[in-house]
Amino acid sequence: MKMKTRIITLVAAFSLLPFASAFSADGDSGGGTISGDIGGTGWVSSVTGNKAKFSEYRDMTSGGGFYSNIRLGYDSDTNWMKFRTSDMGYDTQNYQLDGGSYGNVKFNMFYNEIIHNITFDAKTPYSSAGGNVLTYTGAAPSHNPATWNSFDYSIKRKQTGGDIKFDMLKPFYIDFSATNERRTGILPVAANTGMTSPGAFIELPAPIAYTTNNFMGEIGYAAKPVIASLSVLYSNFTNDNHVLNYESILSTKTDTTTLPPDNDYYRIGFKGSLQLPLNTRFNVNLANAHSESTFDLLRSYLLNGTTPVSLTTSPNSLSSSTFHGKKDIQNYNFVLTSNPVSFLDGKIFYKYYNTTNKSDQITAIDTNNSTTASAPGFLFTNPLFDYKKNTYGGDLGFRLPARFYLDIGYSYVSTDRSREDIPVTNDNIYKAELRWNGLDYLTPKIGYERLQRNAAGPTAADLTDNFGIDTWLHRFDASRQTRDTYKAAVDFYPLDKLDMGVAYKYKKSDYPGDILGLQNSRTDELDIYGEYGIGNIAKVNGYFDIQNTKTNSSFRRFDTTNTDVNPSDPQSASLYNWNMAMKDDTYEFGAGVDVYLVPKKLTLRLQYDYVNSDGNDDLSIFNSAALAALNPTANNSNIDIPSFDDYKKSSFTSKLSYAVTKSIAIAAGFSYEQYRYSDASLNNYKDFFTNSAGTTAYYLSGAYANPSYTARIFFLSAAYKF
Amino acid sequence: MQKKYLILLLIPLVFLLASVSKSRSSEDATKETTEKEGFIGAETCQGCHETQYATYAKTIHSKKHVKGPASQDACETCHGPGAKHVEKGGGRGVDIFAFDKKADPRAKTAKCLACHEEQRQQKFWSMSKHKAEDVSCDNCHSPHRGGDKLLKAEKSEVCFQCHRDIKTMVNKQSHHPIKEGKVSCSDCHNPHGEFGDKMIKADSVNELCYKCHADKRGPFMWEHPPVEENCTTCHNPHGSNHNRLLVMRTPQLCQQCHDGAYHPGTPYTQFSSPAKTAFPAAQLVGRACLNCHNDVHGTNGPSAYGQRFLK
Repeated sequence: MKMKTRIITLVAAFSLLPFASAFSADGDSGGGTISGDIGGTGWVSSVTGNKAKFSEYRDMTSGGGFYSNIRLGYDSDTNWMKFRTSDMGYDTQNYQLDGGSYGNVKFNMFYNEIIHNITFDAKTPYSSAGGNVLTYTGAAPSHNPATWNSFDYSIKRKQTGGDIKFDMLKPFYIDFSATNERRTGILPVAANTGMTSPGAFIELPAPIAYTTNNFMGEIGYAAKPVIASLSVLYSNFTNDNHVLNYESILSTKTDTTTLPPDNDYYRIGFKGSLQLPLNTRFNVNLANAHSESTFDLLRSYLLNGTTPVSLTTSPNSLSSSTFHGKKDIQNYNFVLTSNPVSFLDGKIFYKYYNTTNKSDQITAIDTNNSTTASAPGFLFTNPLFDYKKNTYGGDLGFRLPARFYLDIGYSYVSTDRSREDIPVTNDNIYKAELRWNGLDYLTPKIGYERLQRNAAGPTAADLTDNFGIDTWLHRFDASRQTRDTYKAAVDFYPLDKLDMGVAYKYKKSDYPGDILGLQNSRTDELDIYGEYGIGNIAKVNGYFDIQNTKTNSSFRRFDTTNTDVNPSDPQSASLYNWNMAMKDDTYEFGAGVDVYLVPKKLTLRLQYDYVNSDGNDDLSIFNSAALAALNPTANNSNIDIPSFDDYKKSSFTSKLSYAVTKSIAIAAGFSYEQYRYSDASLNNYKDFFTNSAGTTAYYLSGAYANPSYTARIFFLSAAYKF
Repeated sequence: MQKKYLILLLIPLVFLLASVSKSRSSEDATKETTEKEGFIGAETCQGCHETQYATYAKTIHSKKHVKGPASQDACETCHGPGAKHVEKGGGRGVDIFAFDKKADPRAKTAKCLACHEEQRQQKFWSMSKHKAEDVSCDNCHSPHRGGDKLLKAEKSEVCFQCHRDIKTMVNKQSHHPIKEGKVSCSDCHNPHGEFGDKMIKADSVNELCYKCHADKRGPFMWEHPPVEENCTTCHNPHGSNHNRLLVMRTPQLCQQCHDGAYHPGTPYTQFSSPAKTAFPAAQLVGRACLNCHNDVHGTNGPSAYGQRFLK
């Protein structure tokens, strides 16, 4: 009903346009024109397999439908207004209304829907999926998925907004924008029952009911030699559900998991650019931002899914019942660009980015935690993480003889974190690129970049956690690293209607500071394309792309009994080293042709695209007893995981278009899509299973499972243009 | 809620008000082009270039009320005076500035910036990576094309003409709805130049992501430091073979940093998979680590459950 109201309102609004245009035409020297087109596409589809993956971002499943699109515009020498809509009545519908007075003011308003389908017919033993209280029937959830309730994992976004830009007071300008997004649906979350490894768990349907409002205003001045603006942004996020209550799978008691909190974000910023002598510009960006959230902390929870724990009853306590999250962000950029002589481009820059975490530190005394059975009064205090980055550097570009262009650059990034594992990293980044424009039909270029990252820490005092594993293992995002990137590309355009290109990129990262964890990674990328227009007969295109990634990692398996984490020390069935070499290879190719059977009248389009991804995990365990413990037949050749996110997608489209008149066009076509997916984590999917002893139960819901599909779509479209 | 949409009814009124407001007088700004040396006027150009003139006439550049010379000198504003071109009988690039592939990209851009340099969209062009790479305005825009922002192709397709590696990522099975037309490159990047790395439209990667994913903004009581620092440590916003745009499969992605007692440091092999056993490893199936550690983006959960992102 709401949707109908929106559509009717929009149509009503636009129906006034002719009156407006007629009125404005009186004041125009040349009057105005109304133009537009109205079109529709009827389709019939047959989808077998996973309909959610097929319709991931579209509102189309098996059956038939009709997509309509309307474009209307009024244009005069002084004013314009445009109305566009597509997919009316569908979950992908879009309405745009924009217009204005040339040189004075322009505005835009929109309503847009985005659907994201993840899994249809997911299953849960709970009733009322989508609500914030989940209950099941009986004393325990059913172990038989056939008796469970079905629901869809899907998110719908409804976006409404607009902006208006005033230019009538040039060189001053003023902009306002406001957007509202309502996001609803169901996403998978987890409920883990125990602190022992691993506790029983169940995948839960979590309600998504988010509202985000953004408001922005900007006032600026733009006239040589100064461009400057002051902007204010306010963003507000509200979640209808702050917690999700559910019956524990180990008892019928209610347990609770937390959901994203409401939050607010404020930002005030100044941006400016000043023209200086010698073709030089000084650019500045100064911004302060603040985000905050408030959350009523849980005062009780279920320990291991069975035992109610009160955090506010002695001996347990919470230092505050409410958490106030607060963060301040300062960002200051200064950039000087210069082109003092024709053969030299220069840029120097400095950036300061600082986050300050002013959130509450909550102290919880929780004597019930199973991991601290020997230490009553286990104290939990949330650490406050923040960081500061200082970045500076410069680029120099030289226009050399014979139309060579050399660009060299250096930047230094220093990061200070309030984090005990790696408190400081310093990056030195060097880069160079050489380009040649010596020929009118060919542009080759090569480039190189090196990252040298040094990391300080951790200190000896920090190496006691987890039996001191941090001596050998650091987080790869901040660990010592060297990274080399090589790039080469050639664009070739010997004829006006012939374009070809080849590009290759090689990137290798090493983490020399780590004996364990990520050791190195390598990426190879190759892109080849071509497009050729054969007179008025046809236009052909083709491409072939490769993206391959390899990573190597090392690990030490240990437990609380076998605690010698030094990878150089002796190994056993429970204490051993192992390696992982992962490959993620993707290639795609495609070819298409537009054949102008009757030039400007009858066109046939054929397009074929194919994507193939092959991922695998080559594992090596360096202890025979450990291998034998895994499985009596296990060896380092048969433990590998051969398929991780393997998929093949092929699609083919044929379309015949006929321009009946200058105003009327019709088209008919057929599309075919096939998607085949294989993954060791999701193949042979089980909604319910247990550990080998049968003592721990696991409940899944089908999220992301079995996404393969085949689809055939016939379509017929017509459009009228005026 | 419905009242909000009634605001739309006001739009034509806004339009009316705007239309009756005094616009700049074209008489004040117009100068007969033929009075300038070497200028021949658009009518002469139109004689040979009928199609090009017709397309130009439909665009904002032909509007007399728009401040600037584009509408005043018409074709010759961008292509330069045409007298010599006519004298020599025409021909592509003969004594006329042609926006073709062979022309100096800086010269082409300079033509556009003559009017557009003072616009807010182009205010940081001098810092743009595109400028440094000698990308000229006509690589993406065509004054003769019409359409939204005079772009040569629809939204992100313009960018993919050069950024083919990004197009390959977008074609991967997990992606933002970019090729579906619901998200475009310019939602996150400013091709005309910005202060942020990769010309992103925010002061940091996370502040950019939070614009749409405000539920991840927190601030949370229990934070996951790499998440707070940079979303792209774990996600590739352009596309990935792995669900949720992850740069690597779980549990392997988590294991790159987390080696600990028992399950974090345990190898999950073919023998742990549902294909090989009726009792697969709980840490491998489905969403792997996320089967339990659901709140890796941060949580306000209690005690150890919160600390370990379990509730």
